[in-house]
Amino acid sequence: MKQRHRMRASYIQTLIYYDGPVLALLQNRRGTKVLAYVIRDEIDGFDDPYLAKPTSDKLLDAYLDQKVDLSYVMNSARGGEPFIFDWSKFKDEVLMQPIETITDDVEYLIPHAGIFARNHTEKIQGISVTALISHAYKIDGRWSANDFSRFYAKLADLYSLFSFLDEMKDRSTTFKANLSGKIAKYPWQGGGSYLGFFRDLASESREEYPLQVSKIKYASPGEIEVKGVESSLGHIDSLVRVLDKNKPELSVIYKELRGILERDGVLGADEKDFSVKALEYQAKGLSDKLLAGVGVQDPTLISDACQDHIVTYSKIALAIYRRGDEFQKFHEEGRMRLTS
Amino acid sequence: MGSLPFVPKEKLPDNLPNGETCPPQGAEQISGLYVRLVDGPTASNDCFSSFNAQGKENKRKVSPCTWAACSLVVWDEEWVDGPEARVRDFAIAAGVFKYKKYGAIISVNPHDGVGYRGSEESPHVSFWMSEDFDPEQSLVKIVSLA
Repeated sequence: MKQRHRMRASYIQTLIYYDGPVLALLQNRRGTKVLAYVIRDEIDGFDDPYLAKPTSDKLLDAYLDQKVDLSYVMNSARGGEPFIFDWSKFKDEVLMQPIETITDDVEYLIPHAGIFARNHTEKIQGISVTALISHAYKIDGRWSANDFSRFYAKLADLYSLFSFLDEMKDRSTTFKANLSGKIAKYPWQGGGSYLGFFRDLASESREEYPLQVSKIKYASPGEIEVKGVESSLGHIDSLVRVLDKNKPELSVIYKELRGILERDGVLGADEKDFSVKALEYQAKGLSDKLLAGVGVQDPTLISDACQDHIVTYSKIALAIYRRGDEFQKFHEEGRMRLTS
Repeated sequence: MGSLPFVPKEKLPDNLPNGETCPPQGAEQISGLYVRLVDGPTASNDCFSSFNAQGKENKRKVSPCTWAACSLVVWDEEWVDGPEARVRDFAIAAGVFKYKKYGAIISVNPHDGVGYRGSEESPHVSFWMSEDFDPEQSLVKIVSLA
């Protein structure tokens, strides 16, 4: 069975209350509704455990119309297997784990048969909340179809990178090993490896960090609006501002690092290590600086995933910088303005 | 809210966000028979204390006002299978029936406190007691719900 990812959800409202929320309606980042039911039994490692079941709008409506009971929803294959989370860790969102990571015996956690919406202590509010925000980029000047495509490609790569790194911060070693696997599978000799790597990051983080173009208004001036997770989009805006200010300095580091790889004959080759330690040391320092310069808060997440292969680490640092540089160029040219 | 003066038993939160009041708008002085789910055939005043009064930390996105209320269930004589069945039905939905198989029925008069029902169909009432209200003195009986 494929290992399921964890999922984040935000609170919409309580549906049943008795000395605290018993049943609550949540929503994950993709807008799927989640019913969360209190677990009264003790679960190791949880102060206040809840069983959470993603559900379709149709099934939720059937439940609210009292055509099915809560255990039917919880047992339904629609929406997938349940998750578990600790309400005491609820902030704006809560991180839910697949139930199978805690127990194989889900049956005893499923609410009793015969719980219908007649026992809801609160009226359904019909509020739709989402952790995704709309984020606009003002555009001006002339844009070709190729410009739009490049703009989105760079945005999507950077968004996937920052999302993945955000996700890694509180993830297990298995997830970190996952990044190592993605890096190790490519030879890093040419463009295919870089494209493949960013595509892999996007595919891994798509569930929790979706990115959609919600509006393109092509005029002079016009607007490109995307929907995504605020933190990742915020990182990209910061990156643009940092490059506005520090590009000359970072560009020197980029060229110096690229020069080291080139001179050692590893730039277009599949070697993972430098010929001499001194170069490795120098390249590591420059890569760290370059990544920190473009807003990667913890470059060790990437260097660790490269398993001390500094050539690979350097190439990834260069690739990240290039994407930031190309995206910021739209801003530098005056064809894109940040709105936040 | 009703016309009788209401002096709460415990200090209720003020300065709530979005212009909320405590007790909330729609709360009113209530009367009739109400049930507190309890785990045995006896009940003391402590069984009716709000989490706020018990000093429990509110980590559950519950409004501070509701945290200062006691959850009660309406004793509905008109329920098709009888009032015990209605309380049991709610106790199962609330996930507490495994532990709380008894209902302490109290008689509430308008001056005893203010109640709020979030939904007409549900029998749940959030109850803010008046200063002088003594649940033990108002106890009618304790019934088994099993």
